[in-house]
Amino acid sequence: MLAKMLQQILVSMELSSRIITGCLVISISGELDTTTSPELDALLAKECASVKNILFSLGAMDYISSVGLRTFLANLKKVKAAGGRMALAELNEEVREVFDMAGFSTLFEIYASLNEAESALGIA
Amino acid sequence: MRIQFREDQPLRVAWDLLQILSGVVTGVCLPIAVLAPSQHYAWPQLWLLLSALGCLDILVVLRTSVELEGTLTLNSRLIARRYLKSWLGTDLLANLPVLLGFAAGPGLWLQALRCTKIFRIISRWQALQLFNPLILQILKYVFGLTLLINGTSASWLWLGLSNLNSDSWIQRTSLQEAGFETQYLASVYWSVATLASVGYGDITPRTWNEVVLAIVVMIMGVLTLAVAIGNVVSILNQLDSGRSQFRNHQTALRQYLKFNGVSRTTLDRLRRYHDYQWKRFRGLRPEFMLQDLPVSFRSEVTLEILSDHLSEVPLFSKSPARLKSQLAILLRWEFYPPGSILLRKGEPGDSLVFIIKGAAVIEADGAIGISDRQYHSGDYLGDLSFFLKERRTSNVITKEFTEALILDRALFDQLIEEEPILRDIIRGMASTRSERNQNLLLAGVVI
Repeated sequence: MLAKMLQQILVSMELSSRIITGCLVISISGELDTTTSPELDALLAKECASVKNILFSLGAMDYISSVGLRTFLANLKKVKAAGGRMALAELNEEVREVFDMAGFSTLFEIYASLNEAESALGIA
Repeated sequence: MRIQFREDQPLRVAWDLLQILSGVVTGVCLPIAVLAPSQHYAWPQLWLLLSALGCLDILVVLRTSVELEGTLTLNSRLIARRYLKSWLGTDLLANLPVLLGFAAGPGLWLQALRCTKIFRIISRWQALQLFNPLILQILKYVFGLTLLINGTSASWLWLGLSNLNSDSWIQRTSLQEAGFETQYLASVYWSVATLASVGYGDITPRTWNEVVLAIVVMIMGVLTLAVAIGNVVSILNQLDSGRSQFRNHQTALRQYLKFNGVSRTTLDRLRRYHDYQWKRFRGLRPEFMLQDLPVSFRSEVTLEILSDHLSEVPLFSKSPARLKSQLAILLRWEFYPPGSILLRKGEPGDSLVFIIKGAAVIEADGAIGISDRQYHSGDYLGDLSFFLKERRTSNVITKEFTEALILDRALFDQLIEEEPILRDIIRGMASTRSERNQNLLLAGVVI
């Protein structure tokens, strides 16, 4: 019980998801790292089968680690293999810098606003 | 159109060579022409030709730009004034009389002044650093010695021929009936033997004139030998001084490492490292050698040294000139022998490494394809750990001698602030390697 409480205090990420016209929209806030990535992995494993496209709303995500990036990359491969699309929206400056400087911006569809991303994926 | 030469241009250097040749011919033939009893050795056409070349050289000198206090000047008045104050008189005296018809007597002798040209040209070449300065120094001694031997030989022969009594050395060696060539050869033989302090005693001075000349030649011989031997030894030492200093350093380091139990394999790697350092940089570290140069000049020199390799490095080929100059002096230039750890597992990703020469490979299992594991000239690495601010998960090992420029985080932050274009350049570079970085991350490799 105590351990679970401690983990909740330490785990500094919040996930929320909804499905809009066949697209899984996931909002992430806080830090996506080694500790928090498994939660996102679990959510994606659970919901991916029922949707074609995935949209991440990352306006409140402050930090991404290599493990978090790996989660995005692994799921991008799966979504693309199933003929779907994955988009990222509202990346803050620091996270965007990581994507740009490490060369990942070219792999993902990245949008400045959620509305823009929703229109691109046809769910607006 | 007015012709203007530069002292270091190939055509001008070729002309200088011709003038040196003219000086040597004068130095060797003039004594013969003066002493030879027959018209056969007068060579009037030769003296006319050499004098014409000498006069032409005066014009060439007047049309050659000179360096005054480090600045190249084309101002003909300044050039003429400088020449007038130095060697114009000598050159006119050496060349004009023969052209004006005074080809005999003093006119002929004055041509000896032409020999000074040899030493002036070589000194100028030394100042311009056109050729190896040690070789030029040796050339000076060779020419000097040749002229000295020829001069003393001519004087000795002149004494022998001008006083053909029974005491003359020509009479005593029964050479009075011999041809001029034989007499001259005997004279050269005596001259070399005396200058070299050998003194076989087969040709000896007996008349007072001969004795006086012998004394002078002996003193000159001793002085010349002392100077020549001292200089030859010093030149030979200098020719190889860089290498022997480097060897001494190598030996000391090797002995120290051996004493401290370093393995033979490491010692072998050290030897190969030193061999490479010698072949590539003559045993010096360029970053230390260039330290004393002014910043802008140092950056120019560094870019020139690296010019063959930097065209392959996008960080440089895509940077504007100003940023390129900054990078050239601020980036750390390192080189590694084969098998060295270029990036170490577990270390924080605090630097970007740009390979300018050589190759390296990520030390990882088969989870990554061979093309993603290897880095060659022009590639950069360390970016994942650098931008994600994480520790590296694998070693990167050099496969061959590898030279790299290192950009540390503090410098990167400073440069990005001063030159925002650097961000766009790295972004552009990164976009070409998204596939590789994706494969690395999916395999759990962050370097």
